[in-house]
Amino acid sequence: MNWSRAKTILIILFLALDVFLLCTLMQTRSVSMKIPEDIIQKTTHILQTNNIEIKPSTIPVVRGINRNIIMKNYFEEPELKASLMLTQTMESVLFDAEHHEYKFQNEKAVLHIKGTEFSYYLKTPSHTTTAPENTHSKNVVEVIQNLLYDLGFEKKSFELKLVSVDDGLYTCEAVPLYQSQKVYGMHMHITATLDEIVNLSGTWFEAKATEEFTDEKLLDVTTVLLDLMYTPEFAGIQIEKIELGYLAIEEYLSSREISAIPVYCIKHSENQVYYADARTGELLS
Amino acid sequence: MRKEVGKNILLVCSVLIAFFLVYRIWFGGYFLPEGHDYITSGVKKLFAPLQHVFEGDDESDFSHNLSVLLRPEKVIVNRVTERRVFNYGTQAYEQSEGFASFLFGDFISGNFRVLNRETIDLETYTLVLRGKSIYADYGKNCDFHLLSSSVCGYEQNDTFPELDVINGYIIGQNEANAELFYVYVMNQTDGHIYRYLVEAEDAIEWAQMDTLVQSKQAQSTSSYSFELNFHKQQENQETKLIFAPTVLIDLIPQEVMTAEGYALADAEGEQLYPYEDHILNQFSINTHSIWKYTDLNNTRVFVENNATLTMRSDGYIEYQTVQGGRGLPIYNKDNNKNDYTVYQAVADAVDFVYGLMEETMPELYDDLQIGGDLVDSSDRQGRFTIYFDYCLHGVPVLHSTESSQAHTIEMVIENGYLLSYKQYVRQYELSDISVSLRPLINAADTLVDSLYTGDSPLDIQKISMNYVETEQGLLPCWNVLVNGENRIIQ
Repeated sequence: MNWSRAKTILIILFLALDVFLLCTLMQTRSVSMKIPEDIIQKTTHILQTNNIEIKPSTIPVVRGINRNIIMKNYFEEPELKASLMLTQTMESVLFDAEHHEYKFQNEKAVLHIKGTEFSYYLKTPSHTTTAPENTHSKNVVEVIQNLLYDLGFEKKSFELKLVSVDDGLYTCEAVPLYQSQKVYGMHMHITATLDEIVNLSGTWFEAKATEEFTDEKLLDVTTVLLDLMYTPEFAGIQIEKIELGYLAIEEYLSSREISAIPVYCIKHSENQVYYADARTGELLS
Repeated sequence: MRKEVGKNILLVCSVLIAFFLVYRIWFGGYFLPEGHDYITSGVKKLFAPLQHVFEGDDESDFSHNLSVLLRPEKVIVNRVTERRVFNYGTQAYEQSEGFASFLFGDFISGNFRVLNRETIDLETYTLVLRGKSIYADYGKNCDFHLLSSSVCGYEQNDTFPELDVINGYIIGQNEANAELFYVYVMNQTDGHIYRYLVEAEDAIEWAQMDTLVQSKQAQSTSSYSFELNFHKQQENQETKLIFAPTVLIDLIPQEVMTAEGYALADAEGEQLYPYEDHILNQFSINTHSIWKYTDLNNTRVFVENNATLTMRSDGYIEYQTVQGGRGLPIYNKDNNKNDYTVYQAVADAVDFVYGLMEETMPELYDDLQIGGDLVDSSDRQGRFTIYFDYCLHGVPVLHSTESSQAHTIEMVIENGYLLSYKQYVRQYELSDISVSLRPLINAADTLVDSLYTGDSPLDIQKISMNYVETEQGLLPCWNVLVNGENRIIQ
């Protein structure tokens, strides 16, 4: 028997098998990570026939990961965060660990932390100047992002939205991000000029860890949407945006550590926002 | 030659890659969502009947656990001139309780022949305590079926229809015949006292009890209240309080060690409970679908649609079903939920506590005792509150709350569903400091000052020493059951 030839044949066979298996694996992975196009088309059709307006492009096709985000109060270590926001020149004015109240200041600004709420403000706000008319809101957001970065907030950890402009003062809202996905239920109010943050307040948590549940997949957004047919609030409305994110419940924001669960954030034409639990489909608000 | 080696390596690699890719496709969650578990759980199901045959039944038998968790508070060995009180948790207690429960167990299980049964009066009953006898005092009213299950290992239904609720028993020595002995039981429901003359299979070795009494140096200074005439109203003077006849009264102040408690949990914060997963599992809390948070005081809270589980950093855990919720099913499949009795409730409670604690917190489980009455007296049909007390060297520990004192475990069960569960997961150590426990008579005077209104005398049914955990540590106190209510007196 010619063993050498037999080995060559086996090598060719196994390499071909490897290529085939690899393709199969890639394909199954790709299919499992995305909702098939025909399902999306059918879902939109069913919704439309049931008086809910939605475009196929509104439905996110990528399936999310079933995980909780464990989030820690940003000011868990108040002195550390104060030194980031007020630099090394800061001094402690109030340090009441029992009642979780702290106050730090430097020559320019004050940071007050009470429970999980905080406020940062300038002692004497600088003279505000009217912003140039041609300033693009995207540029403003970038500038304020940089100002927040200077105060110790990682750029990738939040998303900023410009709310209003008044006499050179920009009012923005920030929500936390985890791997580019929003964490709803908490936000930070920001008032700033193009030179400095004038006021910053709210409740802020940062992601500390995740709990992944690989054995259980999230419901497809199409399944959740089909359930909406039986929800009276959605009768006759148009769904404008759907995003997969995480939700932290407001009443738990006075805690040291919270968990945010995966949700589909559904915005409809009347500017109402609904959160549907991505595991059960239950509407949470 | 080199070429052949190269071919061999390539062949082996391509085969290994093929295996790896097949493994990924099969177990990567695309074809089998549960991965390995899908296969292993199937195999386990397949072999479960065989496993049952070879390994037998689960060892966590309710009767066994009940015999550990429901035992007399104290055993009093009465000889003619001497008396010894052995409290739960001592070696002498084990000996005397073992002796008494052996006789009582064989009596109620029918192994010994009952020669005669008669009803006697209270005076005759109390006189037995002056003679050669052993009094096993449970310190609480118990459903007779439960007590029989704890003593002889199974529920005794038909042999003693006259007994519903008892709080202890007396074994009386028959000096004329060593094979005969008496059992005295008071049925608490109707107050009838029964005396049974029982024939044992062999001569009873009462000498064991004589040796036990003689081996203890200090003679008990306690007297039964009937011996001091404190059990009835005085004829010529105002009587402000009456003691139940079998209440033991020690007129001499006792020195008692204080103790300190600490949470079993890690107070550092990162992992509050090493047993968190086990606890969540026992309460059937699905970690996939709960809201959880840790408050500023490091209390972990798990919120489900139907219930909330709270774990405080001081070791207190609380499970509470939402108002109107059905609760967590903990009933045994064999139980009839439509006619849910105290027996079934206790069986379910004991099994639940065993499941929760035995593997993860055996150091606490081993010192638990069922506290509080175990009778069908609930206002709501099928609803029972079961208490467990942690005993530090035999002394139950209560926990000071804002309004009163709490038991170590408090469970509310309704028709087999757990509505609420509260537990202090804490450990205790005796300190070097001893304090003088005030004389019992002084404590009784305090009660008179605060409760006596002049109408009728206070009725003291029970007095026992407890530790009460406060912010200052564990303090020894008197726990007095007066007019049906428990009062703590330091």
